[in-house]
Amino acid sequence: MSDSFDLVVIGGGPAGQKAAVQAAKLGHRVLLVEKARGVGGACVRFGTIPSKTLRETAQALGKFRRLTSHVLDVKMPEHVQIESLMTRKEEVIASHERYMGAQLARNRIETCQGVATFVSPTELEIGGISGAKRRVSGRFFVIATGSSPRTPDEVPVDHEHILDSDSLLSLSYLPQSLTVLGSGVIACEYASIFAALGSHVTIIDKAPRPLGFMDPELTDLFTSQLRESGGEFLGGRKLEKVEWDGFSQVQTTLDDGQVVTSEKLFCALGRVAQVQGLGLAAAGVELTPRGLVAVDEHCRTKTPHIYAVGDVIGPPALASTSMDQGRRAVCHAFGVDLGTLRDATPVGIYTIPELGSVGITEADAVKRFGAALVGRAPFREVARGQISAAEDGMLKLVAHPETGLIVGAHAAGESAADLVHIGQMAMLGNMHFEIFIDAIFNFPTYAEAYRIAALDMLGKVAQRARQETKVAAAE
Amino acid sequence: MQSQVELASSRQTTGAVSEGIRRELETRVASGKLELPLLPGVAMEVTSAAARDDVDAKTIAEMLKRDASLSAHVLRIVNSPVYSPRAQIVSLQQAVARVGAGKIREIALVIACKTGVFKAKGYEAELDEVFKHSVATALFAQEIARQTRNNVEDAFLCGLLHDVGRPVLLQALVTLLRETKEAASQEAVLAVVTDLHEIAGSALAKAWGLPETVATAVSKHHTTTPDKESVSVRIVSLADTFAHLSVESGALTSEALAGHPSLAALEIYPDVLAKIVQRATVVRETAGVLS
Repeated sequence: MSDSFDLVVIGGGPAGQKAAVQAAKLGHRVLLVEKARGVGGACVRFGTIPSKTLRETAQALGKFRRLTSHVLDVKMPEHVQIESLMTRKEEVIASHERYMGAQLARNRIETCQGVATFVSPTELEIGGISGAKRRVSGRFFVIATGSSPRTPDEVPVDHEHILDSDSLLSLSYLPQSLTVLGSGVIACEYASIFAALGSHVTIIDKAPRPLGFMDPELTDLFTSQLRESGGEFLGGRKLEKVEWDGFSQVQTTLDDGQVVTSEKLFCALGRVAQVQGLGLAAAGVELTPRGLVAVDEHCRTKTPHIYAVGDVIGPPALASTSMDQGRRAVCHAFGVDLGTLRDATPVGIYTIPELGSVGITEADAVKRFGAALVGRAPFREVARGQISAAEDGMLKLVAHPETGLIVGAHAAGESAADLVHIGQMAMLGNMHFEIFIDAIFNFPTYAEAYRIAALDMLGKVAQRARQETKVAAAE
Repeated sequence: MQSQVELASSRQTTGAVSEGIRRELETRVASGKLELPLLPGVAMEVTSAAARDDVDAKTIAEMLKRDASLSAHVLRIVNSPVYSPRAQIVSLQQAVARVGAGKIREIALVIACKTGVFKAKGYEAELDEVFKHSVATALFAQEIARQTRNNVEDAFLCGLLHDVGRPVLLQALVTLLRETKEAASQEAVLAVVTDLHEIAGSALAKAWGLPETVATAVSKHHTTTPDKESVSVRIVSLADTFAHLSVESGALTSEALAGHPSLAALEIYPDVLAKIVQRATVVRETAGVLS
């Protein structure tokens, strides 16, 4: 005899939580199964929250130095303990777990700690830490088990000298040097944090530039700041071998013969879906060739009453998109129409400098429309940027070449991830770029960058019009 | 100095440790008046140098050379099958370069503890067992830390020193009994040591300037509520049980560990537990060489 639920959610990360809350709000009986004691998933325990707490410290150090024009300097004590740079981490995690726990309780969502395994398409067995088993059945299921770091065969991760994103923050002391394998979001975020704190960071990747899906003007700012912190980016390189020399260094050999040595190495060469032990075959759920759970546009697996959301289905694998997928999957399951999802999902990358993006890049616009209207606002021209000693940032606005409608907003620098939301609203509202010239913004704010970028765009439109007039006159 | 005859007589006597002696011992522990052994100078230098990045194999080898006994032990250990030397290691510099500064630090600390701390005349056999248990606990703590993505180096130190209060207390209690001309049975002496060893060990860890995490792990490793303690306490508390079951009773199985409160606190599910249990043979071999 098993307990019966309208919805059983497997995994308590951002995607699973939102799925559970959405179903409960629709009046359904929900069970949330989570392997860990608290809710939040890797995002809370190994990912977003711990790394961002450390990042705040790193940023504050740099900002303090810049704001005082280096007259007052903050020196990092020798052999500083990493833990001591993120003392607020436990408080932040506890407060997040309290808040999420209260939300689940308020919505009468039952939670169960354990590992879930499908025994049939409608029944799960939940194994607890002590080995105790419980069986539950459900009308619908949402798989939101997340992902874990991928470890290629040639990288012998030992969590002591060669680490991954689950173990990197267990380091007691700040390493003097750190090699980072990979140039995706996690690689670049940690690379810039450790570089800002004083480690000599070397990023190695086969891609020619870091964060290849972002606008190159933004990633140029990232690499130039990395260089300023004493770090370097070795792009277009292939990894031959990684080994701990048995004494004090990790040696990374590249295909061109170069050997990079560092005290520690951080392997961030992608993530794999956590599907082991889920018993997907018993449920008729299929995987893609890359090992991700295969889903349709509604996040529905091959077994129609089983959905999968978040990292387990692959990119973009951001907390924000995962939450939206969780909500939408449940609405689809219970027949609630949420309308069409507009392609205006923002991306926030918490590197130093911070990067934010929404919509399409200039290159994509040129590909799609044959041309693009582009306006730029360097933060050195924005009063808030000057006041905050954050002149290195920029906003880049992209509009349709004919209609002038906003199709993309990309920012680098302080508050960049927040800043692009203004562009996102303009895109969702089908707005012309001139709205930013007419609108009044608080002064001094980074939002003013939108007016500066729009004026730049207007200038280019006027210039283009003049050229066209000249050509017409000549003809 | 206490004579062997006196010690032998104190060990053969039956009876409990008097309330007065126990209170005096408790007072000395609480007020920090316990006589604490010093970590031998060379071992201290080596352990702190090995943690730095700017120290090369040659420098560490030079430090080791100043302590002949320590050097001999290092060479014996690095030549053992556990470290699989490709060829015999004959020099200290070769030893440091071969097994790594981190391992040399561990070996130096283990030897220093054994020769400088885990000794009390008349109780050699008991302390030898405590020491072997401590080394096994350190090695299991490393394995647990690796599997749970916690700091591996800290875990070793916490495990190695978790029972360091026992020899310290044993020394103090034997001295007190001698001074007051009282006698107590071996069982009674060891029972008092067991009662107070966490707090005495913590005092020693602080006196040696070891990190706070070590002092906490030492002072709370017998907790019954590891979920309310730090990660290092959870790891050492579990590693302690692993070592008891594996080395002393030879009955290490996942079933024997079931229900240990640190398993839930560290979120170790049966699959991960099985992986750590599988490492027992390697741990036993390494512990045998180190101790």
